[in-house]
Amino acid sequence: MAKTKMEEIEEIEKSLGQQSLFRSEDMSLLHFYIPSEIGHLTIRKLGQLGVVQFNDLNYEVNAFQRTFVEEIRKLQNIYTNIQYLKKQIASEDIPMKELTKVNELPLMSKNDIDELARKIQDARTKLDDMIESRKNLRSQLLLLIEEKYVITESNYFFEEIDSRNVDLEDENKDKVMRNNLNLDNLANEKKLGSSTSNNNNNSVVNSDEKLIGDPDNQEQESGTINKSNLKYIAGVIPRKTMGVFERILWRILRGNLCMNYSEIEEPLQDPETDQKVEKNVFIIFAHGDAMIQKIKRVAELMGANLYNIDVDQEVRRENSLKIFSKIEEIHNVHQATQNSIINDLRSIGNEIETWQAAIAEEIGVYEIMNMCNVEVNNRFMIGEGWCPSQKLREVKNTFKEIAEISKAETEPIFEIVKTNREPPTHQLTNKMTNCFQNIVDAYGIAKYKEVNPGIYTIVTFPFLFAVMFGDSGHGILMALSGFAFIYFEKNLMGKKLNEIIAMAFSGRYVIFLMGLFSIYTGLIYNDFFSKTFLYPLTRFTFEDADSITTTEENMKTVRGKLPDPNYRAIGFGIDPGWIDSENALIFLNSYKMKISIIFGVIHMLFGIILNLCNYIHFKEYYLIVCKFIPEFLMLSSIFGYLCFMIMYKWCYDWYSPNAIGEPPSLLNTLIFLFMSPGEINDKDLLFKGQGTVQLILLIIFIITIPWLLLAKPFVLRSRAKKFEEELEAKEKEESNNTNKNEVIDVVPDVFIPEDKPQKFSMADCIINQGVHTIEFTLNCISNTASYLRLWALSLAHSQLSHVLYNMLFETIAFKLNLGVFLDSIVIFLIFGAWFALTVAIMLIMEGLSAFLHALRLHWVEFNGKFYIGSGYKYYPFSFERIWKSERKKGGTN
Amino acid sequence: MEAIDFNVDNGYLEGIVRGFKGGIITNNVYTNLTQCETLEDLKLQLSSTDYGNFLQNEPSPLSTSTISEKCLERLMDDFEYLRANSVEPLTTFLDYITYGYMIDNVILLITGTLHERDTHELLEKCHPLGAFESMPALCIATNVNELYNTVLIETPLAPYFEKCLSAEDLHEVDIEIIRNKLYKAYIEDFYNYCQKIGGPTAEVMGEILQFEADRRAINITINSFDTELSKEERAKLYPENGLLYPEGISKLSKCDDIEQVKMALDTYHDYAAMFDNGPNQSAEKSLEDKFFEREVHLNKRSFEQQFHFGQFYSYLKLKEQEVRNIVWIAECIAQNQKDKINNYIPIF
Repeated sequence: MAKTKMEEIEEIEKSLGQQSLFRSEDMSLLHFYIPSEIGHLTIRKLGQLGVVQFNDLNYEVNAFQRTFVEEIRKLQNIYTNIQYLKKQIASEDIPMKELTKVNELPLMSKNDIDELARKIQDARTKLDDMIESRKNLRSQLLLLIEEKYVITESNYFFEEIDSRNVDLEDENKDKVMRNNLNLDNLANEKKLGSSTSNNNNNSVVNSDEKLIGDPDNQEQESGTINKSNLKYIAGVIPRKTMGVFERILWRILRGNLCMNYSEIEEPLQDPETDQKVEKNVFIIFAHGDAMIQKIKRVAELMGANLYNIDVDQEVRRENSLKIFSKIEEIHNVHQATQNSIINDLRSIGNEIETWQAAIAEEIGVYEIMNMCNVEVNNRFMIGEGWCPSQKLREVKNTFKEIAEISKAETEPIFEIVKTNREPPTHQLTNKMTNCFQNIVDAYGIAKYKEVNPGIYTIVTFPFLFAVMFGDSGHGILMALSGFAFIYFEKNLMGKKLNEIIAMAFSGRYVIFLMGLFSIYTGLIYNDFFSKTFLYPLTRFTFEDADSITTTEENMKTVRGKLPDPNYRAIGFGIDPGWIDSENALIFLNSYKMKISIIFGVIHMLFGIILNLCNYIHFKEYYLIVCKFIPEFLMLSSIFGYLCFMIMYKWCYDWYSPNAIGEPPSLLNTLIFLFMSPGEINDKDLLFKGQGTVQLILLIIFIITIPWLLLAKPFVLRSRAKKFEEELEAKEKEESNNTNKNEVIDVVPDVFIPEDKPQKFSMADCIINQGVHTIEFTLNCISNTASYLRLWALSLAHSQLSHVLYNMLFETIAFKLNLGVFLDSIVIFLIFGAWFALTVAIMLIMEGLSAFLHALRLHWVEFNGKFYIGSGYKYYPFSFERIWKSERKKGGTN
Repeated sequence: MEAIDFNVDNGYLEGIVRGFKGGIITNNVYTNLTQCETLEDLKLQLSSTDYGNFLQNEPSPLSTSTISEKCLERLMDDFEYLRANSVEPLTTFLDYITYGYMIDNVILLITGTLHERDTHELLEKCHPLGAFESMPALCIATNVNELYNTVLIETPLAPYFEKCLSAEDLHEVDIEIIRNKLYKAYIEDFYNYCQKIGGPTAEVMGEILQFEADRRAINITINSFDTELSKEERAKLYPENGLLYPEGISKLSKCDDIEQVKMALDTYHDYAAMFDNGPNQSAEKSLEDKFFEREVHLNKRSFEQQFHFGQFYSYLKLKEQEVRNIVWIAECIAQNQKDKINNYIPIF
């Protein structure tokens, strides 16, 4: 009695139609019962398989109250660590090895992940330690370098004072930028500077007041210095704050500031932020300890580093030597640390992408597990998801495999459930059709199993585009560029492209087809970069201009005529003789306008016919009568008839002696069809009995309006009544049977409830149908008129390219007459300009504009006729997807 | 008139600030925030708001101070962007906004120095909006004159400070008086500036600054009870641009206790309503919170008009309130005091 799972699957597979782009894939709703201990493994396997779209069974539960939030948070921390490591790697310009295939990742168990997490944590801690010590080294180095500068700069300064000592008038021309010394101070310093005695034993460096050189000490030693309380402070300060620093000191010292500074030429690296900072060396002289303390405080608060400088040149020299060797030493250590950091990062860089993918996958797994329900006593995880019916077998096999791997007592099972909920829409696309499908999806995702306009778009889109873009030359360029993208597809696929190029690349097949179709329409229009070609093929003969008597009128026109009324017209496209003729525009406009209407009406009628496929597939047969027939009649009675008239007029031989009269204006005919039904002017007559035909068509048109408006609501109402009765009966029956139905009710209300049938409301239905009727009737006219854009854009395109050519070549290049050599150079240059403009304006701008108009015609005029587009996209849980999005993220970082 | 040429200079920024305003956290999100169990949850929830991943690179045990710091940082970034793109007179207007924070910083540093706190710590505590270049040098001043002459003279606060030079020494009470005097001068100056700009700016900002002035007056009165401050001294501290001036102010200046304040404010409907529960009774909300609520209300209202500068001020104040709210919620979560978590002030 009970079918085995395999039989069930086989049965479903048998019932499946052929896979195509015409309708979306068949979907099955699956209920999963997964033993908790292998839940993680199962979800992981399903992720690798990538065919199940899970539904959120906990949609009522807040995001952070779910079961596995903790795990996700932990993983996100690891993820943050990975990002941090990546940032470090990038900052050292180390290449990261890219992951090329998702399948490279082994199946990771929970333990593997934990181990990986430890590994990443260790790597980070180690790196942090090293970076910390590097920072320490760098700040030590910075201090030393600063001190070095302070000593060298103050050397200049003290030397200056020495020289002043010799020659007071000598103004400072040296590195000292600014010198506020007044003579008083100078006098003191002279003495100070002259204390060049041998005080080697004097350890100023070790004195308590390290930052202040104390001349008193030297005075004791040398005895040559005057009693003076002049003291000084030297240090380094960021150049940015220099101005404020100086002003504040100036105020504190009541204008009696004696400060020298000079700029350090090389920018120094700030170890905290790793940024380059420009700094200044300064030295300040002031009286009194209190003042010195104050200055010191200000300097420190303003971010200056103070250094102790000895007055004595010898000591300074010695110190600077010491500093140099220290710098050398620390520099070496720093280099070693740096090297080991780089080595570390290198080895991390080889693996980091793999880590990231693994962690991202793991986060994905837990997010799915959060969507599942855990049964009360924690034995089972219960999940629900959509799967394409074609893939059921794969899921089954995967589950079998899991059972083998895990060797658990219970194996995961799934059940195929019937539901009335709407499944997701899964269109099978390949790299070529994908782009066209995207054009449709941008309008709306198809309802499940609805006819998919994507498949027709593949042809109609490039065709309508080409009608507007009819120029073989431009078409060739476009097709070539599209072809180039396709040819180098494999190389370009994995690369990160510039945004605009990436967009063109993703639409390469559209571009290629648009180009090909443009070549075709260009041939029909006889346009090749706005010039005609195949000129000799014309069937017209032209009167020889010379033979015409030269009246003014004749000078202007060269008349062409068909040599023989029985002569057949050119078999393909427009006769080349039309181009460049004076009435070319009049002819082309009329021609293009008419074909626009014909294409439009055919396109729309086709859209309406597609409704038929939908109605039959969804078994809504009543709609064929209530909607399809009136709509079809409405459009074809007026505009179908117009198309008929256009073609009839084309085919009719108006020159034959038996002709019915002069060719009528179809516009008038159409207007009088409404204005004076059943009658027709003699001069508008196209064929006999036209008046009667038109009267019948008009009556059909008028009848279809109430038909469309009323039929559907009334049919629906009668059906709703029947349905409600049935439903009541069913409910009664069910309430009787409730006790029976508890077969699999371990967890009866875990799953998302079925959609309830909506209550029928006559008022709603009439209003909806009323809106639809008004819309459809008006659209018959406005949409048909909308197709006239085909003509308008095609006209604009050919005129624009014509003007471009004429302006550059006819009016400039060919008129110069500078001699063959110069002319050829000028023409060569102008050709360059012409080509550049052709690409920029004709191909890119005009192409975009035609593209947009084609898009509109598909979305509004065509899709609007039949496409419901109320579905949602199939979005399976798949590692490949996760991995791709990670890569994209990597691109933006 | 504003409608004609406002957008020439300020249209872009108005658009930006209105966009920023759209990013202010709504009640819905607050409800989610209050349901968080840990600060990590809070981080998760905030990441879905305009704050985005601002906490992403913070090491795992989050502290409320980091959250507050980072929030302020975001606010600063936005404000600096506005300031950098602004054109006179909006630039001056935005500068004016920062003066208030500068006053706070100055006072904070002086008090801190007085209590011999660590200077670097103090500098870190300063509000980033009120930071100015010579700020660190404030710490070396020991008396008011020195303070003025060495540092403040070159800041925009100098004209406000001139009025307080009479205070000789820096005691705690004096510092409070200085703060209030500075504030009084600042608010009045700002008010006058807005009136000078005219148009809807004067209207909107007038209302907000009047309220600000009144709030200060009331607070000064209430806080001065049981202190050495004499009534004459106190009267000098009241800003003179509020709705209460002059009549309410003169009444306030005679008050001795909270009941009298209530009486004095009786005729002012908006303020009287705030005292209805009485700030001393076991009311749910303190007077301060009610003031904040009123402030939020006024600031929200400023977005209902166009072509004025008030929205920049309002945006900043609302965002500040938002930061306060987030920090409050974070504190409640961190200290596990869930019962008080709903005492934030909803904005939108």
